[in-house]
Amino acid sequence: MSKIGIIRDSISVNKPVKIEYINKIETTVNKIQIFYSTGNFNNAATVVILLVNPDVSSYTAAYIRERVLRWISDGLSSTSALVLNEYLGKIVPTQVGVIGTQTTGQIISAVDSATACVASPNITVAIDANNAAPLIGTGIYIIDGGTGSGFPGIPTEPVAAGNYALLLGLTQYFITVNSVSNISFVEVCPLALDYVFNLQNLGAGPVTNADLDGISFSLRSFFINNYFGYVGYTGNPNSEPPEFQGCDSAFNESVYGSNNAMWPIGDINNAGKDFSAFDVSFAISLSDSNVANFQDANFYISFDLNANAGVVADATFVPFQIGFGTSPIFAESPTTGIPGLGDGTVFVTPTQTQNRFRDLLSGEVFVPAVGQSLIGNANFTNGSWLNVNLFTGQVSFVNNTTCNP
Amino acid sequence: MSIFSLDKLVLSIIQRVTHKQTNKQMSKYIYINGAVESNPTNVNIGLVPIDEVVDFECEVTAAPLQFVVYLGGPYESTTNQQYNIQVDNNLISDVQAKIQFDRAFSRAYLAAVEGFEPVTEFYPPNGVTITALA
Repeated sequence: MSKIGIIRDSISVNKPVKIEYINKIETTVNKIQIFYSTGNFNNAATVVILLVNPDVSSYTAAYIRERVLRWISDGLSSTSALVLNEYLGKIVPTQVGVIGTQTTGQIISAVDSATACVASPNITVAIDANNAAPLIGTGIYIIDGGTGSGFPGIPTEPVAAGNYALLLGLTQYFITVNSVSNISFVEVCPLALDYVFNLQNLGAGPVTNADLDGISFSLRSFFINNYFGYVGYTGNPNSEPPEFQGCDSAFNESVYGSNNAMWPIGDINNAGKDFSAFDVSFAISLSDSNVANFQDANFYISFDLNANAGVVADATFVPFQIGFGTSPIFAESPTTGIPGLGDGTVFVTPTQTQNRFRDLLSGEVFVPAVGQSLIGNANFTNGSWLNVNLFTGQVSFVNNTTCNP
Repeated sequence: MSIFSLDKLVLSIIQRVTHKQTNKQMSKYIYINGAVESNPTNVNIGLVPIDEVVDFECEVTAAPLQFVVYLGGPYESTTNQQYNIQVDNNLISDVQAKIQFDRAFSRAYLAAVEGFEPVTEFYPPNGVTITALA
Protein backbone atom coordinates (compact mmCIF):
# COMPACT_ATOMS: atom_id res chain seq x y z
CA MET A 1 0.00 0.00 0.00
CA SER A 2 1.18 3.48 -0.73
CA LYS A 3 1.48 5.91 2.14
CA ILE A 4 -1.19 8.51 2.68
CA GLY A 5 -1.79 11.53 4.84
CA ILE A 6 -5.06 13.15 5.80
CA ILE A 7 -6.27 16.69 5.19
CA ARG A 8 -9.56 17.73 6.78
CA ASP A 9 -11.45 20.12 4.51
CA SER A 10 -13.96 22.84 5.34
CA ILE A 11 -16.89 20.42 5.60
CA SER A 12 -14.90 18.08 7.87
CA VAL A 13 -14.27 15.43 5.27
CA ASN A 14 -10.96 13.65 5.86
CA LYS A 15 -9.42 13.69 2.41
CA PRO A 16 -6.62 11.18 1.84
CA VAL A 17 -3.56 12.54 0.07
CA LYS A 18 -0.73 10.35 -1.14
CA ILE A 19 2.63 11.25 0.37
CA GLU A 20 4.69 9.06 -1.92
CA TYR A 21 5.72 9.60 -5.54
CA ILE A 22 5.72 13.36 -5.03
CA ASN A 23 7.60 15.18 -7.73
CA LYS A 24 7.26 18.78 -6.58
CA ILE A 25 5.56 20.86 -3.89
CA GLU A 26 4.66 24.50 -4.38
CA THR A 27 3.33 26.71 -1.63
CA THR A 28 1.96 30.22 -1.38
CA VAL A 29 0.42 31.87 1.64
CA ASN A 30 -2.99 30.58 0.44
CA LYS A 31 -2.22 27.38 -1.39
CA ILE A 32 -0.33 24.11 -1.36
CA GLN A 33 0.06 22.31 -4.65
CA ILE A 34 1.43 18.77 -4.76
CA PHE A 35 2.62 17.42 -8.09
CA TYR A 36 3.13 13.71 -8.48
CA SER A 37 5.62 11.92 -10.61
CA THR A 38 3.91 11.21 -13.91
CA GLY A 39 5.76 7.91 -14.06
CA ASN A 40 3.60 6.72 -11.20
CA PHE A 41 0.43 8.72 -11.77
CA ASN A 42 -0.72 9.13 -15.31
CA ASN A 43 -3.99 10.76 -14.44
CA ALA A 44 -5.05 13.63 -12.19
CA ALA A 45 -1.50 14.08 -10.99
CA THR A 46 -1.87 17.34 -9.08
CA VAL A 47 -3.58 17.93 -5.75
CA VAL A 48 -4.43 21.45 -4.66
CA ILE A 49 -5.06 22.48 -1.06
CA LEU A 50 -6.48 25.98 -0.53
CA LEU A 51 -5.84 27.68 2.78
CA VAL A 52 -7.38 30.41 4.87
CA ASN A 53 -4.34 32.10 6.32
CA PRO A 54 -5.06 34.38 9.31
CA ASP A 55 -1.64 36.07 9.24
CA VAL A 56 0.27 35.97 5.98
CA SER A 57 3.24 37.85 7.44
CA SER A 58 3.78 35.19 10.07
CA TYR A 59 2.64 32.14 8.14
CA THR A 60 4.67 32.65 4.99
CA ALA A 61 4.87 30.36 1.99
CA ALA A 62 8.23 29.11 3.26
CA TYR A 63 6.73 28.35 6.68
CA ILE A 64 3.85 26.43 5.11
CA ARG A 65 6.26 24.50 2.92
CA GLU A 66 8.32 23.52 5.96
CA ARG A 67 5.16 22.31 7.72
CA VAL A 68 4.08 20.26 4.72
CA LEU A 69 7.51 18.65 4.41
CA ARG A 70 7.45 17.80 8.09
CA TRP A 71 4.00 16.25 7.73
CA ILE A 72 5.21 14.14 4.81
CA SER A 73 8.42 13.14 6.57
CA ASP A 74 6.59 12.09 9.72
CA GLY A 75 3.91 10.36 7.70
CA LEU A 76 6.36 8.24 5.76
CA SER A 77 7.76 6.81 8.96
CA SER A 78 4.43 6.53 10.77
CA THR A 79 2.25 3.45 10.86
CA SER A 80 -0.90 5.57 10.71
CA ALA A 81 -2.07 8.37 8.46
CA LEU A 82 -1.18 11.78 9.92
CA VAL A 83 -3.43 14.83 9.63
CA LEU A 84 -1.95 17.91 7.96
CA ASN A 85 -4.29 20.26 9.83
CA GLU A 86 -2.44 19.44 13.03
CA TYR A 87 0.79 20.67 11.45
CA LEU A 88 -0.70 23.93 10.17
CA GLY A 89 -1.87 25.46 13.44
CA LYS A 90 -4.23 28.36 12.75
CA ILE A 91 -4.07 27.94 8.99
CA VAL A 92 -7.29 26.27 7.82
CA PRO A 93 -7.50 24.07 4.71
CA THR A 94 -10.73 24.77 2.83
CA GLN A 95 -10.80 22.89 -0.47
CA VAL A 96 -8.70 19.78 -1.03
CA GLY A 97 -8.35 17.67 -4.14
CA VAL A 98 -7.62 17.46 -7.82
CA ILE A 99 -8.92 20.05 -10.24
CA GLY A 100 -11.98 18.33 -11.61
CA THR A 101 -15.07 19.65 -13.32
CA GLN A 102 -15.41 23.34 -12.75
CA THR A 103 -18.05 25.97 -13.24
CA THR A 104 -16.66 29.43 -13.52
CA GLY A 105 -18.32 32.69 -12.60
CA GLN A 106 -17.37 36.17 -11.50
CA ILE A 107 -17.67 37.87 -8.16
CA ILE A 108 -17.25 41.35 -6.78
CA SER A 109 -17.63 42.57 -3.24
CA ALA A 110 -21.06 44.07 -2.48
CA VAL A 111 -22.39 45.43 0.77
CA ASP A 112 -25.97 44.28 0.27
CA SER A 113 -28.43 42.68 -2.12
CA ALA A 114 -29.42 45.92 -3.84
CA THR A 115 -25.80 46.76 -4.57
CA ALA A 116 -24.96 43.23 -5.64
CA CYS A 117 -27.78 42.99 -8.15
CA VAL A 118 -26.57 46.01 -10.15
CA ALA A 119 -22.85 45.30 -9.77
CA SER A 120 -20.54 44.08 -12.54
CA PRO A 121 -18.57 41.14 -11.12
CA ASN A 122 -15.07 40.79 -12.57
CA ILE A 123 -13.06 38.42 -10.36
CA THR A 124 -13.06 34.91 -11.79
CA VAL A 125 -14.00 32.14 -9.43
CA ALA A 126 -14.78 28.44 -9.64
CA ILE A 127 -17.79 27.11 -7.85
CA ASP A 128 -19.10 23.68 -7.01
CA ALA A 129 -22.16 24.12 -9.17
CA ASN A 130 -23.09 23.65 -12.78
CA ASN A 131 -24.75 26.89 -13.79
CA ALA A 132 -27.61 26.00 -11.51
CA ALA A 133 -28.16 28.16 -8.47
CA PRO A 134 -25.32 27.48 -6.03
CA LEU A 135 -26.34 25.58 -2.94
CA ILE A 136 -25.67 26.80 0.54
CA GLY A 137 -22.62 24.97 1.81
CA THR A 138 -20.89 24.58 -1.53
CA GLY A 139 -17.36 25.76 -2.03
CA ILE A 140 -16.14 28.75 -4.01
CA TYR A 141 -12.57 29.72 -4.78
CA ILE A 142 -10.60 32.14 -6.90
CA ILE A 143 -8.96 30.78 -10.02
CA ASP A 144 -6.39 31.97 -12.47
CA GLY A 145 -7.70 31.66 -16.03
CA GLY A 146 -9.61 28.64 -17.30
CA THR A 147 -12.63 28.45 -19.56
CA GLY A 148 -14.72 25.72 -18.00
CA SER A 149 -14.41 21.99 -17.62
CA GLY A 150 -12.37 21.55 -20.79
CA PHE A 151 -9.72 24.00 -19.68
CA PRO A 152 -10.08 24.36 -15.93
CA GLY A 153 -8.51 27.31 -14.19
CA ILE A 154 -5.90 26.87 -11.49
CA PRO A 155 -7.25 27.57 -7.99
CA THR A 156 -5.21 30.33 -6.39
CA GLU A 157 -6.86 31.02 -3.05
CA PRO A 158 -10.10 30.79 -1.10
CA VAL A 159 -12.64 33.60 -1.29
CA ALA A 160 -12.39 35.83 1.75
CA ALA A 161 -15.39 35.87 4.05
CA GLY A 162 -17.93 38.56 3.13
CA ASN A 163 -20.80 39.53 0.84
CA TYR A 164 -20.49 39.38 -2.93
CA ALA A 165 -22.32 39.70 -6.20
CA LEU A 166 -21.90 36.44 -8.12
CA LEU A 167 -22.56 36.18 -11.84
CA LEU A 168 -23.08 32.58 -12.92
CA GLY A 169 -24.12 32.09 -16.50
CA LEU A 170 -26.73 34.74 -17.16
CA THR A 171 -27.96 34.89 -13.60
CA GLN A 172 -26.67 37.20 -10.91
CA TYR A 173 -26.79 36.35 -7.21
CA PHE A 174 -26.14 38.03 -3.92
CA ILE A 175 -24.09 35.61 -1.84
CA THR A 176 -22.36 35.45 1.49
CA VAL A 177 -19.14 33.48 1.82
CA ASN A 178 -18.20 32.18 5.25
CA SER A 179 -14.79 31.98 6.88
CA VAL A 180 -13.89 28.71 5.17
CA SER A 181 -14.80 29.76 1.64
CA ASN A 182 -18.19 28.09 1.50
CA ILE A 183 -21.36 29.84 0.37
CA SER A 184 -23.55 30.43 3.39
CA PHE A 185 -26.31 32.57 1.84
CA VAL A 186 -27.77 32.85 -1.66
CA GLU A 187 -30.32 35.25 -3.09
CA VAL A 188 -31.21 35.33 -6.78
CA CYS A 189 -31.24 38.81 -8.28
CA PRO A 190 -34.27 39.72 -10.38
CA LEU A 191 -33.57 39.98 -14.09
CA ALA A 192 -32.52 43.48 -15.09
CA LEU A 193 -34.47 43.87 -18.32
CA ASP A 194 -33.83 47.06 -20.24
CA TYR A 195 -36.28 46.51 -23.09
CA VAL A 196 -39.36 44.32 -23.48
CA PHE A 197 -41.03 43.49 -26.79
CA ASN A 198 -44.59 42.21 -26.40
CA LEU A 199 -45.56 40.72 -29.76
CA GLN A 200 -49.24 40.70 -28.80
CA ASN A 201 -49.14 44.49 -29.03
CA LEU A 202 -48.36 44.20 -32.73
CA GLY A 203 -51.80 42.70 -33.31
CA ALA A 204 -52.77 42.49 -36.96
CA GLY A 205 -50.56 45.42 -37.92
CA PRO A 206 -49.51 46.99 -40.07
CA VAL A 207 -46.28 47.26 -38.12
CA THR A 208 -44.30 50.45 -38.66
CA ASN A 209 -41.30 52.10 -37.13
CA ALA A 210 -43.64 53.58 -34.54
CA ASP A 211 -44.17 50.13 -33.04
CA LEU A 212 -41.51 49.78 -30.38
CA ASP A 213 -42.57 46.15 -29.80
CA GLY A 214 -41.59 45.45 -33.38
CA ILE A 215 -38.50 43.29 -33.02
CA SER A 216 -37.97 41.00 -36.01
CA PHE A 217 -35.87 37.90 -36.65
CA SER A 218 -34.22 36.81 -39.87
CA LEU A 219 -35.14 33.24 -40.91
CA ARG A 220 -33.53 30.62 -43.09
CA SER A 221 -36.92 29.48 -44.24
CA PHE A 222 -35.53 27.05 -46.82
CA PHE A 223 -34.84 24.60 -43.98
CA ILE A 224 -38.58 24.21 -43.39
CA ASN A 225 -40.85 22.39 -45.78
CA ASN A 226 -43.49 24.71 -47.31
CA TYR A 227 -42.71 27.51 -44.85
CA PHE A 228 -43.94 30.40 -46.99
CA GLY A 229 -46.98 28.51 -48.25
CA TYR A 230 -48.00 27.50 -44.74
CA VAL A 231 -47.62 30.99 -43.30
CA GLY A 232 -49.57 32.50 -46.20
CA TYR A 233 -47.00 34.33 -48.29
CA THR A 234 -47.36 34.67 -52.02
CA GLY A 235 -44.72 35.54 -54.57
CA ASN A 236 -41.06 35.22 -53.64
CA PRO A 237 -40.56 36.90 -50.25
CA ASN A 238 -37.19 37.26 -48.56
CA SER A 239 -36.97 36.04 -44.95
CA GLU A 240 -33.21 36.56 -44.70
CA PRO A 241 -32.38 39.89 -46.27
CA PRO A 242 -28.81 41.10 -45.78
CA GLU A 243 -28.44 43.93 -43.30
CA PHE A 244 -27.94 46.58 -45.99
CA GLN A 245 -31.32 45.68 -47.49
CA GLY A 246 -33.14 45.08 -44.21
CA CYS A 247 -32.14 48.51 -42.93
CA ASP A 248 -32.87 50.49 -46.10
CA SER A 249 -36.47 51.36 -46.96
CA ALA A 250 -35.46 51.74 -50.60
CA PHE A 251 -35.56 47.94 -50.81
CA ASN A 252 -38.81 45.96 -50.78
CA GLU A 253 -36.89 43.43 -48.65
CA SER A 254 -36.39 45.98 -45.86
CA VAL A 255 -37.95 45.21 -42.47
CA TYR A 256 -41.20 47.06 -43.20
CA GLY A 257 -41.04 46.44 -46.96
CA SER A 258 -43.58 44.59 -49.09
CA ASN A 259 -41.30 41.64 -49.86
CA ASN A 260 -39.94 41.09 -46.33
CA ALA A 261 -40.67 37.77 -44.61
CA MET A 262 -38.76 38.19 -41.36
CA TRP A 263 -40.60 37.11 -38.24
CA PRO A 264 -42.93 38.44 -36.96
CA ILE A 265 -43.12 41.76 -38.82
CA GLY A 266 -43.04 40.21 -42.28
CA ASP A 267 -45.73 37.71 -41.32
CA ILE A 268 -48.01 40.49 -40.08
CA ASN A 269 -47.41 43.01 -42.84
CA ASN A 270 -47.19 40.64 -45.79
CA ALA A 271 -48.92 37.38 -44.84
CA GLY A 272 -51.93 38.63 -42.88
CA LYS A 273 -50.91 37.11 -39.55
CA ASP A 274 -52.54 38.46 -36.39
CA PHE A 275 -50.57 38.29 -33.14
CA SER A 276 -53.42 39.41 -30.89
CA ALA A 277 -53.84 35.93 -29.44
CA PHE A 278 -50.19 34.98 -29.06
CA ASP A 279 -48.49 35.37 -25.70
CA VAL A 280 -44.88 35.73 -26.77
CA SER A 281 -42.49 38.44 -25.64
CA PHE A 282 -38.80 39.10 -25.93
CA ALA A 283 -36.55 41.14 -23.67
CA ILE A 284 -33.04 42.52 -23.81
CA SER A 285 -30.73 43.02 -20.89
CA LEU A 286 -27.85 45.37 -21.72
CA SER A 287 -24.41 44.66 -20.36
CA ASP A 288 -24.62 48.16 -18.88
CA SER A 289 -28.05 49.74 -18.54
CA ASN A 290 -26.51 53.19 -18.67
CA VAL A 291 -24.66 52.73 -21.95
CA ALA A 292 -26.50 52.60 -25.30
CA ASN A 293 -24.64 49.61 -26.70
CA PHE A 294 -26.17 46.24 -27.58
CA GLN A 295 -22.79 44.48 -27.64
CA ASP A 296 -22.89 41.52 -25.20
CA ALA A 297 -26.53 42.23 -24.35
CA ASN A 298 -28.58 39.14 -23.49
CA PHE A 299 -31.87 38.13 -25.12
CA TYR A 300 -34.72 36.54 -23.19
CA ILE A 301 -38.11 35.12 -24.14
CA SER A 302 -41.37 34.85 -22.19
CA PHE A 303 -44.60 32.97 -22.80
CA ASP A 304 -46.64 34.45 -19.97
CA LEU A 305 -46.24 38.22 -20.00
CA ASN A 306 -49.82 38.78 -21.13
CA ALA A 307 -51.12 36.06 -18.84
CA ASN A 308 -49.61 38.22 -16.10
CA ALA A 309 -51.41 41.34 -17.33
CA GLY A 310 -48.26 42.68 -18.96
CA VAL A 311 -46.46 43.06 -15.64
CA VAL A 312 -42.82 42.33 -16.47
CA ALA A 313 -41.87 41.56 -12.88
CA ASP A 314 -44.54 38.85 -12.71
CA ALA A 315 -43.66 37.19 -16.01
CA THR A 316 -41.08 34.45 -16.52
CA PHE A 317 -38.32 35.39 -18.90
CA VAL A 318 -35.82 32.69 -19.80
CA PRO A 319 -32.58 33.02 -21.76
CA PHE A 320 -33.10 32.91 -25.52
CA GLN A 321 -30.88 29.88 -25.98
CA ILE A 322 -31.63 27.33 -28.68
CA GLY A 323 -29.97 23.95 -29.03
CA PHE A 324 -29.92 21.68 -32.05
CA GLY A 325 -32.79 19.21 -32.11
CA THR A 326 -34.15 20.04 -28.68
CA SER A 327 -37.86 19.72 -28.02
CA PRO A 328 -39.40 21.69 -26.56
CA ILE A 329 -37.14 24.54 -27.53
CA PHE A 330 -37.84 26.18 -24.21
CA ALA A 331 -39.19 24.24 -21.25
CA GLU A 332 -41.75 27.01 -20.73
CA SER A 333 -43.07 26.92 -24.29
CA PRO A 334 -46.75 25.92 -24.45
CA THR A 335 -46.44 24.62 -28.03
CA THR A 336 -42.86 23.17 -28.09
CA GLY A 337 -41.69 25.90 -30.49
CA ILE A 338 -42.59 29.57 -30.39
CA PRO A 339 -46.30 30.44 -30.68
CA GLY A 340 -46.84 32.50 -33.80
CA LEU A 341 -43.75 31.20 -35.58
CA GLY A 342 -45.17 28.86 -38.21
CA ASP A 343 -47.49 26.43 -36.44
CA GLY A 344 -45.79 27.11 -33.10
CA THR A 345 -44.15 23.69 -32.88
CA VAL A 346 -40.49 22.73 -33.18
CA PHE A 347 -41.30 21.50 -36.71
CA VAL A 348 -42.71 24.93 -37.67
CA THR A 349 -45.02 23.52 -40.38
CA PRO A 350 -47.27 20.43 -40.36
CA THR A 351 -45.41 18.86 -43.26
CA GLN A 352 -41.91 19.31 -41.83
CA THR A 353 -40.77 15.97 -40.37
CA GLN A 354 -37.34 16.90 -39.01
CA ASN A 355 -36.67 19.30 -36.14
CA ARG A 356 -34.70 22.07 -37.88
CA PHE A 357 -35.78 24.85 -35.51
CA ARG A 358 -32.21 25.79 -34.65
CA ASP A 359 -31.36 26.05 -38.34
CA LEU A 360 -34.40 28.21 -39.06
CA LEU A 361 -33.22 31.17 -37.02
CA SER A 362 -30.18 32.84 -38.54
CA GLY A 363 -29.30 34.93 -35.49
CA GLU A 364 -29.74 38.25 -37.34
CA VAL A 365 -32.19 40.47 -35.48
CA PHE A 366 -33.71 43.89 -36.11
CA VAL A 367 -34.40 46.04 -33.05
CA PRO A 368 -36.39 49.27 -33.48
CA ALA A 369 -35.41 52.65 -32.02
CA VAL A 370 -36.44 51.64 -28.53
CA GLY A 371 -35.51 54.83 -26.70
CA GLN A 372 -34.55 54.87 -23.06
CA SER A 373 -33.93 51.76 -20.99
CA LEU A 374 -36.63 50.76 -18.52
CA ILE A 375 -34.05 50.73 -15.74
CA GLY A 376 -31.11 52.87 -16.82
CA ASN A 377 -30.02 55.88 -18.86
CA ALA A 378 -29.17 54.01 -22.07
CA ASN A 379 -31.10 55.58 -24.97
CA PHE A 380 -31.36 54.24 -28.51
CA THR A 381 -32.67 56.84 -30.94
CA ASN A 382 -32.05 54.63 -33.98
CA GLY A 383 -32.89 51.08 -34.90
CA SER A 384 -30.19 48.39 -34.78
CA TRP A 385 -29.26 45.26 -36.66
CA LEU A 386 -27.70 42.68 -34.37
CA ASN A 387 -26.16 39.26 -34.55
CA VAL A 388 -27.19 37.05 -31.66
CA ASN A 389 -25.41 33.86 -30.63
CA LEU A 390 -28.38 31.51 -30.41
CA PHE A 391 -26.58 29.06 -28.14
CA THR A 392 -25.92 31.69 -25.49
CA GLY A 393 -28.62 34.26 -26.23
CA GLN A 394 -25.98 36.96 -26.23
CA VAL A 395 -25.33 39.60 -28.88
CA SER A 396 -22.13 38.62 -30.70
CA PHE A 397 -21.78 41.82 -32.64
CA VAL A 398 -23.70 44.90 -33.66
CA ASN A 399 -23.93 45.20 -37.44
CA ASN A 400 -25.69 48.53 -37.74
CA THR A 401 -26.52 51.17 -35.16
CA THR A 402 -28.50 53.36 -37.57
CA CYS A 403 -30.83 50.74 -39.00
CA ASN A 404 -33.88 52.87 -39.86
CA PRO A 405 -35.87 51.08 -42.58
CA MET B 1 -16.40 -24.63 20.83
CA SER B 2 -16.74 -27.31 18.21
CA ILE B 3 -13.83 -28.67 16.21
CA PHE B 4 -15.34 -27.05 13.12
CA SER B 5 -15.39 -23.66 14.84
CA LEU B 6 -11.82 -24.12 16.04
CA ASP B 7 -10.71 -24.90 12.51
CA LYS B 8 -12.32 -21.71 11.29
CA LEU B 9 -10.68 -19.70 14.04
CA VAL B 10 -7.21 -21.08 13.22
CA LEU B 11 -7.80 -20.44 9.54
CA SER B 12 -8.90 -16.91 10.30
CA ILE B 13 -5.74 -16.25 12.36
CA ILE B 14 -3.55 -17.66 9.60
CA GLN B 15 -5.31 -15.47 7.05
CA ARG B 16 -4.83 -12.37 9.20
CA VAL B 17 -1.15 -13.12 9.69
CA THR B 18 -0.76 -13.75 5.99
CA HIS B 19 -2.51 -10.51 5.17
CA LYS B 20 -0.33 -8.66 7.63
CA GLN B 21 2.83 -10.05 6.14
CA THR B 22 1.79 -9.27 2.58
CA ASN B 23 -0.01 -6.02 3.31
CA LYS B 24 2.45 -3.88 1.37
CA GLN B 25 1.98 -5.79 -1.86
CA MET B 26 -1.69 -6.67 -1.67
CA SER B 27 -4.23 -4.86 -3.84
CA LYS B 28 -7.24 -3.59 -1.96
CA TYR B 29 -10.61 -2.54 -3.20
CA ILE B 30 -13.73 -0.79 -2.05
CA TYR B 31 -16.97 -2.37 -3.19
CA ILE B 32 -19.48 0.35 -4.00
CA ASN B 33 -22.94 -0.77 -2.92
CA GLY B 34 -26.00 0.87 -4.39
CA ALA B 35 -28.00 1.43 -1.22
CA VAL B 36 -27.78 1.60 2.54
CA GLU B 37 -26.44 -1.50 4.29
CA SER B 38 -29.86 -2.57 5.53
CA ASN B 39 -31.33 -2.74 2.04
CA PRO B 40 -32.02 -6.44 1.26
CA THR B 41 -31.76 -5.93 -2.49
CA ASN B 42 -28.39 -4.21 -2.41
CA VAL B 43 -26.17 -4.64 -5.45
CA ASN B 44 -22.53 -3.88 -6.12
CA ILE B 45 -22.27 -0.97 -8.52
CA GLY B 46 -18.50 -0.68 -8.82
CA LEU B 47 -15.06 -1.53 -7.54
CA VAL B 48 -12.57 1.14 -6.49
CA PRO B 49 -8.86 0.21 -6.41
CA ILE B 50 -7.86 2.18 -3.33
CA ASP B 51 -4.17 2.33 -4.23
CA GLU B 52 -5.10 4.55 -7.15
CA VAL B 53 -7.48 6.96 -5.39
CA VAL B 54 -6.25 10.55 -5.66
CA ASP B 55 -9.45 12.33 -4.70
CA PHE B 56 -13.20 11.84 -4.39
CA GLU B 57 -16.15 14.18 -4.23
CA CYS B 58 -19.91 14.32 -4.57
CA GLU B 59 -21.05 16.75 -7.25
CA VAL B 60 -24.58 17.43 -6.11
CA THR B 61 -25.50 20.55 -8.00
CA ALA B 62 -25.57 19.25 -11.56
CA ALA B 63 -27.86 16.68 -13.11
CA PRO B 64 -27.30 13.80 -12.90
CA LEU B 65 -25.91 14.10 -9.41
CA GLN B 66 -22.59 12.29 -9.30
CA PHE B 67 -19.98 10.91 -6.97
CA VAL B 68 -16.60 11.08 -8.66
CA VAL B 69 -13.57 9.06 -7.66
CA TYR B 70 -10.45 10.52 -9.21
CA LEU B 71 -7.95 7.78 -9.92
CA GLY B 72 -4.29 8.22 -10.68
CA GLY B 73 -2.88 4.76 -10.89
CA PRO B 74 0.18 3.57 -12.74
CA TYR B 75 -1.81 1.96 -15.51
CA GLU B 76 -2.47 3.56 -18.85
CA SER B 77 -6.09 2.49 -18.69
CA THR B 78 -6.79 4.33 -15.45
CA THR B 79 -9.86 6.55 -15.71
CA ASN B 80 -11.92 8.34 -13.14
CA GLN B 81 -15.07 6.64 -11.89
CA GLN B 82 -18.33 8.57 -11.96
CA TYR B 83 -21.29 7.18 -10.09
CA ASN B 84 -24.77 8.56 -10.70
CA ILE B 85 -26.58 9.10 -7.42
CA GLN B 86 -30.12 9.91 -6.37
CA VAL B 87 -30.97 11.92 -3.30
CA ASP B 88 -34.32 11.53 -1.56
CA ASN B 89 -34.92 15.11 -0.47
CA ASN B 90 -37.67 13.91 1.86
CA LEU B 91 -34.90 12.38 3.93
CA ILE B 92 -31.87 14.54 3.29
CA SER B 93 -30.95 17.76 1.49
CA ASP B 94 -28.52 17.74 -1.41
CA VAL B 95 -25.85 19.53 0.58
CA GLN B 96 -26.19 17.22 3.57
CA ALA B 97 -26.13 14.26 1.20
CA LYS B 98 -22.84 15.49 -0.21
CA ILE B 99 -21.31 15.94 3.22
CA GLN B 100 -22.54 12.61 4.57
CA PHE B 101 -21.56 10.76 1.41
CA ASP B 102 -18.05 12.23 1.30
CA ARG B 103 -17.52 11.51 4.99
CA ALA B 104 -18.80 7.95 4.63
CA PHE B 105 -16.52 7.26 1.71
CA SER B 106 -13.60 8.79 3.58
CA ARG B 107 -14.28 6.42 6.49
CA ALA B 108 -14.48 3.45 4.15
CA TYR B 109 -11.28 4.49 2.43
CA LEU B 110 -9.33 4.90 5.65
CA ALA B 111 -10.68 1.60 6.95
CA ALA B 112 -9.52 -0.06 3.77
CA VAL B 113 -6.08 1.51 3.97
CA GLU B 114 -5.51 0.63 7.59
CA GLY B 115 -7.31 -2.73 7.61
CA PHE B 116 -6.23 -6.14 6.45
CA GLU B 117 -9.20 -7.15 4.35
CA PRO B 118 -8.73 -7.10 0.58
CA VAL B 119 -12.24 -5.76 0.11
CA THR B 120 -14.02 -3.08 2.12
CA GLU B 121 -17.72 -2.55 1.62
CA PHE B 122 -19.03 0.97 1.10
CA TYR B 123 -22.67 1.85 1.58
CA PRO B 124 -24.14 5.28 0.79
CA PRO B 125 -25.76 7.20 3.64
CA ASN B 126 -29.47 6.98 4.31
CA GLY B 127 -31.43 8.90 1.68
CA VAL B 128 -28.87 8.41 -1.08
CA THR B 129 -28.79 5.63 -3.65
CA ILE B 130 -26.19 4.95 -6.31
CA THR B 131 -27.91 4.12 -9.57
CA ALA B 132 -25.09 3.43 -11.98
CA LEU B 133 -21.44 3.71 -12.81
CA ALA B 134 -21.60 6.28 -15.58
